[in-house]
Amino acid sequence: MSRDRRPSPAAADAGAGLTGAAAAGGAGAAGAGAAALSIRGATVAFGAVRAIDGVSLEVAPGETVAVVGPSGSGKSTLLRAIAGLEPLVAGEIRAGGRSLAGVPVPQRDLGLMFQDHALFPHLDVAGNVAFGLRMKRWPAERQRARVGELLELVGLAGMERRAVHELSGGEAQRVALARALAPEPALLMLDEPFGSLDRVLREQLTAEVRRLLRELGQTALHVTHDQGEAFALADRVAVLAGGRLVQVGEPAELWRHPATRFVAEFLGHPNLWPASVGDGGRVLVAGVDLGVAAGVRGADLVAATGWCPVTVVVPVTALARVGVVGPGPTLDVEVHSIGFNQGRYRVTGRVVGGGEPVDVAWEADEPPAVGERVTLSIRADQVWTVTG
Amino acid sequence: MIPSSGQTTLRRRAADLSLAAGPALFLAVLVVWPLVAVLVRSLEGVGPGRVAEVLGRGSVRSVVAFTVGQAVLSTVLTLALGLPVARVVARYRFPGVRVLRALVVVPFVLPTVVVAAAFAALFERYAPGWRDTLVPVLAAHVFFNLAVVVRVVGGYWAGADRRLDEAAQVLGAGPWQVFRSVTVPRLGPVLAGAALLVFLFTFTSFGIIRILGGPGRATIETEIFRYAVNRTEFDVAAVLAALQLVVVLVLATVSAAFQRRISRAERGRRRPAARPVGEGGWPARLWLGGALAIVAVVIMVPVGVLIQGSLRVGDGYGVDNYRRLFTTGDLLPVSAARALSTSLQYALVAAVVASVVGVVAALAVTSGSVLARPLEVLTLVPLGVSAVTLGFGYLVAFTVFDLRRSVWLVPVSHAVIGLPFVLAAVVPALRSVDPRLREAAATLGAGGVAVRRLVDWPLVRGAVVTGAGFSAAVSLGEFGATSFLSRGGDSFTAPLAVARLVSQPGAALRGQALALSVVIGAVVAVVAALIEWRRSDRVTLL
Repeated sequence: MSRDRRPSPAAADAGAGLTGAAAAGGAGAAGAGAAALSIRGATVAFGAVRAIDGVSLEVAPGETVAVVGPSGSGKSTLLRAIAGLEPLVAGEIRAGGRSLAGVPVPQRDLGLMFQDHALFPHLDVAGNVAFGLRMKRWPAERQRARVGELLELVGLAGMERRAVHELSGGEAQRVALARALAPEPALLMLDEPFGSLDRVLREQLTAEVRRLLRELGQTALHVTHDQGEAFALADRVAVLAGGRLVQVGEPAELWRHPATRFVAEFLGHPNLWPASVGDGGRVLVAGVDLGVAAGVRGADLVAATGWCPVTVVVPVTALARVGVVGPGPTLDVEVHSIGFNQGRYRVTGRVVGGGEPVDVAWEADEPPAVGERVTLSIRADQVWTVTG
Repeated sequence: MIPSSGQTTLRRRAADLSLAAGPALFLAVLVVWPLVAVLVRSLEGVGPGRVAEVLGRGSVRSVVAFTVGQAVLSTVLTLALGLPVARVVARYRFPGVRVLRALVVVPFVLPTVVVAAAFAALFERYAPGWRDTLVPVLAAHVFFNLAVVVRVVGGYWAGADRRLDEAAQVLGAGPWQVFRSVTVPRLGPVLAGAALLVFLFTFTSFGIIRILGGPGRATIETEIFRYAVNRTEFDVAAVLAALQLVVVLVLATVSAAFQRRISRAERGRRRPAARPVGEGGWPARLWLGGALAIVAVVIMVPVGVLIQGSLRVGDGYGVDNYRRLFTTGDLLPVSAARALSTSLQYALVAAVVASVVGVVAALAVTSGSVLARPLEVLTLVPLGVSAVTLGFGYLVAFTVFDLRRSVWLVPVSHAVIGLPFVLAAVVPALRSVDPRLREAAATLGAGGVAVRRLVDWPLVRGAVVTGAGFSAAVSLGEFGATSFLSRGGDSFTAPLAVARLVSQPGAALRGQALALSVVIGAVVAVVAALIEWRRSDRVTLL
């Protein structure tokens, strides 16, 4: 237990201006020298295809960073490159200040938790958890103690002798986590760790792993296609698209201020409307003047003569029935369908006159009728604009 | 492949190449050289005119016609009797299904001379009128190759995803339409693959024809032996061997293509549970009854007659035939017991050599290096080439250092013939090891050797034992190559003893042949049954 364990610096980088892709490179809280993991311009190519292309990212000691992106965006390749399982054609990866170039996989001091566990079928639970300790030639007694400690930690105390094929999906994933944590890796990497589990189990395990990582002060890099899982687990989230890093930031920051239309869509924002910006930052949607929106980006846009086409991101929380949110710009919407989710009605429809699709949480006991016209108020301070 | 960072890739590539070098050299010396020697011999000196003259002879033509004809008949019969058994073994669950499966598969590894002795005894005693027809040969071929059909087709059938049938039914297909539009298109290549294998095995049949064929019935294989050993017309033997080699290589290539297609199409399927017979109603019971009847008549009757005959003394029963195995008569250069001991030693040597070479070759084949594919093809050649051709090739090729006299030649030839079986067991096992297990081990600090030792070896150990067991069984029964290479005395094996005893008139010698057959058969059957027991359905032969 000799490793330095710092408390999580979560939220340390909550400073302003962390909105664009430009922040991707140097977003680490603790400065470049102390980064647990520092990736600069990492590129991996399969033939002519660049699976990851010039990715730069830093992870501070004790921090959990989640890399999200659709399938094929290069998330797993990034993990495999850090682990040394894929060679870099360009760029550099450093761990704890030490370059990993030429360091063989076994000597990288990393823990990797695979999707679908990849537990050794010929070893029992204890044999799996102790594997890394065996490689480090720990004495048998210490191995036993450490295995017991880890199993206790992941809630599987006393299951040492259990055969791997007897485990449930959740148990197998806990064993995989214990196995990756046992040798006290400088960096724990989780590759879609809960992808094969059902939703309830996934949420439960996500919360447990988050608590565990905080308690241990474990630095972790987490890869997933599920933005909800990423938001639940990570201090910071990095969005990957087509092998390139699009945006890095805290979950709330990312949600409020997505850098591109792609990021907004990927995070699940339903209300993305074509709009015009001009005249000192005023935003026009379907003829409705939203006033000066908080998120109008770039002096060039504001200064431009005439109006510029943009896309506005209207969070579900920024729309409400007239009277619920209060005075502000309003929008007439024709209701197309009603859903029910998590105790609330979800109303979808189209803006009258413009036709933009609208999706709003309906804060009332009774939903409107389909075909009815309703008036929604918009919290203009929550509206954000992106180009494209 | 063991994961590696970019810097170590070159070194690893070099290691992969050197891994392939050992097995490649082994096969080059012991397979390629002898076969090339046969081909060269058949053309050199004699010239194309002589080749044409030999192939144009009426006697040679009728031999070729007979070889093809009996192989076609055997294949058709084997398929007809094997398919019902394959279906039952694959689709139904019932008490004793594993016993049935083992019963069907064991004959495949039984020595040809043992089977020939059993059918000789059967027809002489109970159907003497048929003894001199083609029937005993066909019956013995079916006995052997039933396993091929049950294994290949049944293995496929067991794994065939029943959900496809169900999907067709839901889409409105009746039973006949399901059979025609879903079952047959998927089963077709598998059937063709199994038929090709049976044809290949019966086309090169040697021991069965030698012992059961009687006068006037000769295949290309037995003619090679006759011309080379009895008549010492080496050039004619070489022309015949070359002819057979060409046919076999073509068939083996087509067969391998089918195998690849099947395994590609069926990769990653789910295995559905077989249904208990009770659920199938009377059609299922009918299928089961039919399959049991086929197995009883085709497999159990000959084995029963063999055992019964080995115990017959005069008009009663006793163990005299077994006791006589320990005495030395005029007919055999050594006692039958001594021959059996020689066979067991050879089997041990062959199994060890085949396993060591086979495991190294399997690592090289699965390494992904440029030599992997050529090496894989090379290791399969001994499976396709007839043992007689190989033995003949050794005689022709190894004149150089007078290796022909080496006592190692027989067991080494057995190892060569057993090598494909080791690979057939170990290569799929190595391929099925999830590469992420190796990656997981590497990220946990295991280096290349540790990964091999702690991940690969425990997971393929069983397959290595299977391959070693099969190559031991093959060695114990090997007859074709041994006929050429044995120098008598110290290298006189048990199958040679059976062949010599069974071809002599006289009840005492016949009884002794049967007793020795039972002993060899028992050893082989135990080995094979043990292997079969712990394995489940696979599409491939092994």
